[in-house]
Amino acid sequence: MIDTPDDVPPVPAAPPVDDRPPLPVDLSPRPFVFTGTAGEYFRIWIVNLLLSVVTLGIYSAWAKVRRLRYFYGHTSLDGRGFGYHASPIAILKGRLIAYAVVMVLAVLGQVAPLAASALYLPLAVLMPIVLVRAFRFRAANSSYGGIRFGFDGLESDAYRVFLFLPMTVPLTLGLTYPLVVKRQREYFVSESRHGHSQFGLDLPTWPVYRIYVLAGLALLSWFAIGVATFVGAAAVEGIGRPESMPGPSVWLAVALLYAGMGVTVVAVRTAFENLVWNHTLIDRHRFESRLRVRDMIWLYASNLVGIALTLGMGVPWARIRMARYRAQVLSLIPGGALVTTAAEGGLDAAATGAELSDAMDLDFGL
Amino acid sequence: MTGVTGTYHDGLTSHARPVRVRVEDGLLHLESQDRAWAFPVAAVQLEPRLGDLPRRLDLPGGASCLVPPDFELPVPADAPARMERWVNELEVRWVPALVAAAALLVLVWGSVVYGVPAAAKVVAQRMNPAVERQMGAQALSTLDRIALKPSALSEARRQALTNRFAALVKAASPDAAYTLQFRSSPAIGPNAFALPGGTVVLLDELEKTAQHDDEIVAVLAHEIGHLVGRHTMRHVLQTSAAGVLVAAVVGDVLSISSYAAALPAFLLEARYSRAFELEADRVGFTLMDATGVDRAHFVRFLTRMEKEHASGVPGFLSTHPRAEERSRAAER
Repeated sequence: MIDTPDDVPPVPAAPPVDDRPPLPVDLSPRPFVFTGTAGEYFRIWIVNLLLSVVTLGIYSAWAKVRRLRYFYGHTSLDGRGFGYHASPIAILKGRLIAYAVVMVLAVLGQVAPLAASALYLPLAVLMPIVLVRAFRFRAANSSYGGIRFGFDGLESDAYRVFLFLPMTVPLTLGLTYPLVVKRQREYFVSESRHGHSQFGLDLPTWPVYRIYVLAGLALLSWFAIGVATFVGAAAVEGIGRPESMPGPSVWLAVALLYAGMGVTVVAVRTAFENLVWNHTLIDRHRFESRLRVRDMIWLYASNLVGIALTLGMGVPWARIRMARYRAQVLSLIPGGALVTTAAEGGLDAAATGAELSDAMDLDFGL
Repeated sequence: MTGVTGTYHDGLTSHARPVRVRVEDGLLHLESQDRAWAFPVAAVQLEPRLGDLPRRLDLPGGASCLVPPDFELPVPADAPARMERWVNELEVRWVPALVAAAALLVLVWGSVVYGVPAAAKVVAQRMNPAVERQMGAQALSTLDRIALKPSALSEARRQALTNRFAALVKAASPDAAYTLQFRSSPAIGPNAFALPGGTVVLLDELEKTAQHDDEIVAVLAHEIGHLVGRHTMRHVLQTSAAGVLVAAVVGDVLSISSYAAALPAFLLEARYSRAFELEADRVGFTLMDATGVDRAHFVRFLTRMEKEHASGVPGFLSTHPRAEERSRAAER
């Protein structure tokens, strides 16, 4: 809850003018810094997870706020920190609505499958609106240096990039997929702002396509290797005994396929994330992201093994390592003084309140 | 100078200003080198404590101030604030965290091993039998298309086996409408299986491998055990419910959460499958006893099968229990 009581005037009002003497502008790159630790976060995570389970998910809204506050609060840039401000109640409302929709669909799917499938259409039509609200919620509840972020994307544009544009993907046999991904990310980033500083993103088309073309080729060759191993194994060991387990080479083939797919997915994400950061602007500043595919693969793979060996208890450690690495390789390249990010006071706070009243929190992996 | 050191953000620029923070006479005082502010304590809001993070004081007018974690306002906390204070007490110590970890592991393990199977059993028993019959019919027609051939057994041989099967069914439940179907499949080999809805399929290859008719009857009794327990339906329900459960705990961890959840889901599935085999064995044994078939026939057949079709898969990965374990159960 953003509590700015208009009826209580600040005793001496904060003067809106900045009268500090101008400082020499420092244009050196500013690294992002992450200071969270696995031990501290493990304790927070496990306590909140248990509370979420025993309250049948009700507490999960509080757990989410504490988790995001931990990660935002431990991230800083140029000596100033990030903050997460969402009210757990607002998150709980969003989650209850989402669960209700899922339950209705599940029950209806058992009782009247036709009616359930008829419901998917209005849901798909509503999806861009829900997305915009989720973006707005997340942005309006995040801050850096005491100033809130914001998201001003229009619903009409959301319909274009999240509903209509994706329809071209099956029609063109996937050829427009990279374009859709590019447009979606550009919409998300360039409609975001920090105070009154607008973010900007204009992704070059060819590098985006290159990522997906290479990924497609890699997947195809992995698939070929997997199939060859499988066929070879079938010839040697004999397949098709449902009551007995398949032989070791079949396991090898399946493992190879999985590993290949995992590596490709990680590589695509890493390359795309770098591309996005390295083309993102805010005011005159830009970013530099130096994620490396082999580091990411190592992180994902070791996290996976760590989580499996600890029966899931390694999850906090995995999250902290990932956040630390991402911060480590990301920096802001100033194009001028950094202190100037200004929002017109009052206006921003009021807009925030209005935004929150119709914003809804949902998790989307964008 | 009294009070604690804080960082003031005016909400207008992202500039951070060091301030001294103190509370006096119901007013929160902030003092920087060249300026001072005061706010009624009731008009400011302090965010709940979280680890070693500085806490944010939201000030009227959009300004905020970061204060050390142990800073408190002299006002009574409301219920949500008290709850989060209590949560924080648990979070900062290792003992509650380790207790929570143990409790969670026990909770998840208990629900996956006992809770989910028990719930699936209840749901499966109440499920409309028509759904199962449809599942079974669909499965058989698919199998007929891709793996099964018509049986080459003579009509008399089929009738003899059908009669033995009918005796088993009668022993299982007088009003059960289970049917026996004959097929052949060199690819699958000596086998029999139960399909949801009440159909047992016997393959010619098993009929040929069996050294005694009672061995075949013993296997049929085991398959009827699967039908009586509605194992296919329960297996489907259990696997999906446990998958959701595991994903809820481990999931959203890595963005590729399906990977992390795939292994436990797979191990669980094998575990559930072994439990169903043992349950079908138990029902099978009572049917053998009721129809005068020696349990030893079942054991002999299993042992022979295992010797001929050793897969070298470790026990915890396997969908079937070891023949040795199953023979020991037969002796009880």
